[in-house]
Amino acid sequence: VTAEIGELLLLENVEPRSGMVSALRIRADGTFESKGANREDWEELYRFTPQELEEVRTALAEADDPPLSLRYEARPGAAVTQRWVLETPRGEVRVQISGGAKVPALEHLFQRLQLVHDFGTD
Amino acid sequence: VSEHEYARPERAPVDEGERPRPADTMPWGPAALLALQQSIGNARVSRAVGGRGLRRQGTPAPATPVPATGTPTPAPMPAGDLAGAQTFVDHGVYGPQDVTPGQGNTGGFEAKYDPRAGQLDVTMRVAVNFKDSVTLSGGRAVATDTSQAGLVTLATRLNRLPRARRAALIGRYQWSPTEFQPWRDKLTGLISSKWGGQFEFHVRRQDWEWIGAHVNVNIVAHDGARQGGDHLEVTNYKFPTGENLYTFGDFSVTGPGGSSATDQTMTLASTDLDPRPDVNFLRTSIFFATGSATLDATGKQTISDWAKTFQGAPTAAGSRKLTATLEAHASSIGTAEGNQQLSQQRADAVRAELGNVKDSTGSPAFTDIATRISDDAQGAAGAAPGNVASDRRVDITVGAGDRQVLAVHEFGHAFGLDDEYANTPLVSSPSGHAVGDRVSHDTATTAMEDDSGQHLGGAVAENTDNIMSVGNVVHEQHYSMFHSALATITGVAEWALGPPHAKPSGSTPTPAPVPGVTPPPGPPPPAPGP
Repeated sequence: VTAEIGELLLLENVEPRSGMVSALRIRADGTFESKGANREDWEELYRFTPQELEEVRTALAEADDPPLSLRYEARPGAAVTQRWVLETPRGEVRVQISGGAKVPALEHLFQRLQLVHDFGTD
Repeated sequence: VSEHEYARPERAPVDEGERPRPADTMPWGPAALLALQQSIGNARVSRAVGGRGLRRQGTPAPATPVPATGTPTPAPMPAGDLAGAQTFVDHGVYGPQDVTPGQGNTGGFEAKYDPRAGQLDVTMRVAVNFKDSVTLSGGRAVATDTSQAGLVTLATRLNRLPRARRAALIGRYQWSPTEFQPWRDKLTGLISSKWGGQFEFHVRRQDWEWIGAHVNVNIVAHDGARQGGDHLEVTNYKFPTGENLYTFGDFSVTGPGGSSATDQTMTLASTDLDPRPDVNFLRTSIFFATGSATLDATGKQTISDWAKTFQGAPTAAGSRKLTATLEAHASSIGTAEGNQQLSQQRADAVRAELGNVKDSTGSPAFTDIATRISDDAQGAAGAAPGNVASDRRVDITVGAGDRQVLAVHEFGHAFGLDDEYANTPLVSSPSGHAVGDRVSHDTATTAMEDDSGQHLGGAVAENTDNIMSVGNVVHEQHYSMFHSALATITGVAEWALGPPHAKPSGSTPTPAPVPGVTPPPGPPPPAPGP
């Protein structure tokens, strides 16, 4: 997995044999995008404001404190491999999760990022 | 609505590594064999355990014989042995025993064979985790699971709605406890009916052919996390009718686990018990202008994609060369006779264009059109009033053209089967099989014989109406895992497809009758001497 220059976050869920991927990424300009297993292109979900983007950066930094490991595995033969690439104060952090392992810091980050943006509908 | 959109069906990874099977696990273990040897003699015991001879304890044994390379030929018929057959039946129940018949010890279920009832019971114990697709956090919709990144798209769509509207809709993606049992009941009924009772086996050994195996599939499901002995843990995300995981870019999938029969995982949408709503690979529509039977560029491209997707590998052993129907329609304006003629002209145009499509080598991309493609010109039958664009079409329909039921496909993986669909223009599997690849249950399939002793041709990747491809039909090759399990637990290798024959006359007790099994008419052949 390779994050493009200027990405703050990339999460890919990969089904190894078929190569199907569903993915999320946050670009440096604040664009939050998804790519589905049955779609070729990234789809913009929304764009973080500069203030929200700072909150995103803080969340990424805190997810890596204490530092994440490079690899987590619970059991062999699970269906999906997760690949994370996070831009943090210590640089680009790459994490691979397989076997259905749960990494609390990343689970928390996943939830937290979804609450950052103000949709203006509440 | 055009069905020929791009989509990627689910598939499961398969461990290509071949691991040795556990030590000989047939129920006639060393102690039982020794006792039999002492009572009826070595030769007879050897025949009774499948003509394999006696192995040393702990010697790994293949579950099924693998034919030599080249064209499989019928195995030589062992000498008749009615007494051995009777001993086999009198042994009583074989198993229950957990088996992992898929390549690399994938798949996992419990197998039990009762020779008196003539029944193989395939039991899969399943834990079902009912999981909300999204939850509310401070009034905000939030996807809950990092493994379902696509559900963030769902949450985003909900969060764009006014709060009250969001709150009203979110319940469609959340479970009520009252829904658990009906869903489990539907799952167990669906899998049992679709996978059980499709084919029968009998022992293709002289004087043993009256011994049969009707296949009964039992799914035993409970709520909550995996418990000891469960073969499969399903995470079941809630969706309303008309949506599934693919709707939001995720996918239904089965993880084969490691080498154990009790470590598989599966991800489903609650709607996966019904025909999938997002795509129907088996029905592709070509549209026409009013009063016209001339294909436009889009129509020609669609036909080209279809030809390359469904040509299959017709010369490969085990290919199930598909047939398709051109269901041609016209709108309801105009005369009945004119519309009938127009719909036939549209079918003719599609047929002609199919013949024009070339593959990358310049050869016809779809062959044997005369025998594989039939017409069904329907005129304006079923058309809406007026000139409706969607009525001016030809549907290229493969088989019955039914949408796949994803849960049935995924349970095929849980039994140990591979995907049979292939990476093509209309069915995308980026790193999956190419057309004509031998799939992982090919070897187990070629190990199977039909009633005449001919080995099956195997199993190849191609897009068809097969359940492990993009349709719903369970074929003989899909029983290769049950065949393998039967051989493993009974120690008899010569299980062949087809119902049991009548028992030779003059023999002692017959097995209990099997529902739906009718012995062939006429007297059985005389039993040869020992």
